[in-house]
This record gives sequence, structure tokens and C-alpha cells, in this order.
Amino acid sequence: MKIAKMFKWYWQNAYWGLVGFYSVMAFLLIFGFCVALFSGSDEIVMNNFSPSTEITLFVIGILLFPTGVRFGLSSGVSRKTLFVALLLFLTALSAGMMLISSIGEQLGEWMGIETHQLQQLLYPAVTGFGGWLSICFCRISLGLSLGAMGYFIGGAYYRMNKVLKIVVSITVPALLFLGMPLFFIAFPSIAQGVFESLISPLFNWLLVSPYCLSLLCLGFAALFGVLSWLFVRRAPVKIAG
Amino acid sequence: MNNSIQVKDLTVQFGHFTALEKINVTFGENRIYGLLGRNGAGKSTLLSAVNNRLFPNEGEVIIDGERGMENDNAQGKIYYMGEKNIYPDGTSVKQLLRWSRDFYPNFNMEYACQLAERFQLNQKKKLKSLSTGYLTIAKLIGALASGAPYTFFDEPVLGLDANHRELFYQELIRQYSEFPRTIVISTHLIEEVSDIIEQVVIIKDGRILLDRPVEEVKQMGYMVSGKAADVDAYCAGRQTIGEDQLGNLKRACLLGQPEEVPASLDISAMDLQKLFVQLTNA
Repeated sequence: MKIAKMFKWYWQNAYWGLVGFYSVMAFLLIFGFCVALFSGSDEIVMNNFSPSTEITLFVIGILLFPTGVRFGLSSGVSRKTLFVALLLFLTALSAGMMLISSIGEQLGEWMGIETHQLQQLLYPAVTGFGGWLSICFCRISLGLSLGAMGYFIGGAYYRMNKVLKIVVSITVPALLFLGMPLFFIAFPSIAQGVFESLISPLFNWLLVSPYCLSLLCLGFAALFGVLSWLFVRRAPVKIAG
Repeated sequence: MNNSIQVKDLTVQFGHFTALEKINVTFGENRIYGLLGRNGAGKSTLLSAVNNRLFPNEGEVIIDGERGMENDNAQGKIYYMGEKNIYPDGTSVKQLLRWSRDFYPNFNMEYACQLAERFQLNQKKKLKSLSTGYLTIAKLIGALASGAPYTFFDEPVLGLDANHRELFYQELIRQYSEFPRTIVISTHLIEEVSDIIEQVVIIKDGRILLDRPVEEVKQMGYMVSGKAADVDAYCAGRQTIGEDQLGNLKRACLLGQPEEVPASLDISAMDLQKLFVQLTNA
């Protein structure tokens, strides 16, 4: 029973964020439509539905860890229950947002705005109802994996002390945006080897079917889910941070 | 002992600091407990561990015969009004009460609304916009109306003015007499709660120092008052735990039972706060 209550709580916490997000998207659609209408241009492109939906899920994931743990534990909900409720909520939210985004994209098409989905661009050969279904599954998986990654990051920051937070906040971006490029410049043969033996075959495999991408995303969702559980299972109620 | 919270050998450590060390205490059915201790003694840590808000390093908590840690059913019987706000900043008072209703099946919304009116608390206000006193009131209302068999109050009158404190104590007693339950009050305002609590638990440096009925504690000693010279003469050779003097008048707290008290001195019951200060200073 408490799973349902926590699910409702997660929903109410994400509600106004979602209202804000879809208000902005609706405004952009109407704005694009007006521009298309008055300029007579048929080249208005709005491909940001899919990535912005996924970014929103990522941010929601980050925010739900501290608030959910604090509220859940203080309301007599066990860590296991609040975590299961979170997984169910993220899955439902990914599915719901995928549906709304698809409707938004379709509306955009009817309004004369190009709203290609990333997956449609990646898999142009995928058509028909089966294709649509596979794209939907792919988007839900992608949303779920990003939500889980956000929850993991939220959990990591919640559990870390102040010093560790500062160290991680500086080190991780520095390694990603400076360290890695510098490494590849310094060792181009290694970079080429990694690209040829790992990244290129992976991308080739992912482009075979939307289900391949879905599988990878679900793998990431499972990985971040397990890692997040490690943060949740002994999490205390912390007010600051 | 089924209808009780039993804390068994509970140890909580934060790094190298031991906040609680092998704590054993029982909160029995339908009693009002005063959990007393100096700052940093481990009162909030004990309540948090019982309420599953933090994981103990050792020991266990048994609630009505069930394991308390990570148990939705057992934890649903405890309402913990903490010192700090655990709700998101944008939460309004009304939302706080609604959430309490959703998670505590015996929550009395009608009573909560009546209390909000009596405390003059605007339910539409966001928690972040409330003063310290009104934030405390909002949480107090949630706790009083929760209907939970075990209600913990951690610093329940923080920031409250005298009128609101009086109102809270009245409501607490009224609620307790109408719907008996186990109440644990953790506070530094010992004098204010000394007439309400039935059992006193004193915690010092993470260990239980005293766990006895208040009446028994009060009988551990007595107070004598009168002219300073007479009081000093009487106290000589006796175990005095505290003294107050105003001009030529003096009052002393002594351990033990009154013996051969001269007619010039008045005897009264032991002051709980004096005893607490003495015990926790030692």
C-alpha cells in the first residue's frame, strides 16, 4: 500500500515541473506555428522534443532522491518501498512523457513544423506499426536510463560529505572535458584503437534495430538502479545537502 | 511485551564518534515519557534510530513485537515530529496535513483544521515562509492529529511563545486522556514538562543514565528552604545537589529522605531540573 502512496508523492512532486516543461514546449510549438504561418516558410524545425523530455527525466531523477528519502523515511516508509515506488514511477513517467511528446511531435507535424525524433533519424528504415512500437520502447528505455542515472547522481551527492562533493564536482567534469580529449591527443593510436575496436562496432550494432538501443538503455537503467540502491539501502535522513 | 517499543543494545556511530552505545530502553504502552539530556547527548539520534531515519551499527528496535527497522507496518505506528523540516520548501501547511493523512490511517483531518484555527496558522502558507514558531506549530498539529500509537516530539515548543506553549500542553493532555497512546517528549525545558511526563529517561554521552517513573525520581531527594544560616546548618554533612539564594533566604536540593528537619525550614518535593543538572554535570 505504501508503494502506491509513495508513487503518488513522487507524482505530486514532479507535477509542477512537468506542467512547466510542457507549457514551454506548447509555447514553442505555437510560436513555431505562428512563424510558419506568417513567414510562409515550410522549413521550421523543432527536433528538441525528444532530448528535452529525456533531460527533464534526468533532472527529475536527481531531485527525487533527496526529497524522496527525506520524506519517505520520515513518514514510516522503508527504504525498499520508497525505492520500488521510485522505479515504478520513473518507468510510468518515461512512458507517459514519451506518449505526450509523441502527440506533441505529431501536432507539430500537422502545424507544418518538422519534429523528427532522434530515433526516426537513426532508424529511417523502421516503418509501420511495428516500427512505431519499437521506437516507443526505445524512447521509454532511454528515458528510464536517464532518470535512473539522475537518481544515481542525486544519491551520490546526497550521501557524499562536503569535501567529497567539491572534489567530485571538479574532478569529473575536468576528466571528461579536459582529461579525455588531452589523452586522445597525446595518444592518438590508443584513441583510434578504442574507436575501431569498441565504439564503432557498438554503434554499428546499435543501428541494427531500435531494440538494440533499447537493450543498451535498459542495461544502463539496471546498472544505475543497482548502484542507486547501494546509496538508498543505508541512507539516513539528512536535512542539509 | 507486545505493545511497546523495545530498544535493544542499540549502538550508533558517526565515523569515530559513538553517538549511542549499547542503549537499552523500553517505551511502554500509553505512557508519557520525557527524554532528557544535554546538547549532543544522543536524544535525537535515539529517536531517529527508532524511527528508521538512520541505520544503527548494532542492536535492534522491536515495535509491538515486530522488527522495527525497514518495516513499513511497524514504522507506520510511529509519528516523529522532528526538530527540522523534512518537507520540500514549496510544501504548504495544507499539503503537509494531507500527506500526514495519507501516510497515517488514523490521522484526524478535522481535528488538525481545528488546531490550525486555534493556533491561528494559515494553512495556505508555504512552510518556507513560516517563522520558526509557526513551522513548529505546523509540525505539532501533524503530530497531535496523527493518531499514531507512538508519537515522538523532538523539541516540540521550539520558537513557541508562552501562549502557544500553554495551548500545546493543554491539547497534548486532552488528546492523551481521550485517546491514550505512547508519547515521548525530548526537550530541554524540563520544568515545563515535569508535571506532564510519567516516566523520565535521561541520556548522557550516548548512554541511559536514568529510566524511572517521575514520582520515584522526585522521591530520590527533597528541597529545604528558609533562612540561609538554618539551611546551611541543616545541609552540613548531607548530600546537597544544588542551592539558590535570594538575600537571606536560601533553598537547597538534597538527595535521600528528609530527617530531623528543624521547624524553621520548609520541605518540598525534589525539583526535576535540579536533579537533572546534578546528574548530567557529574
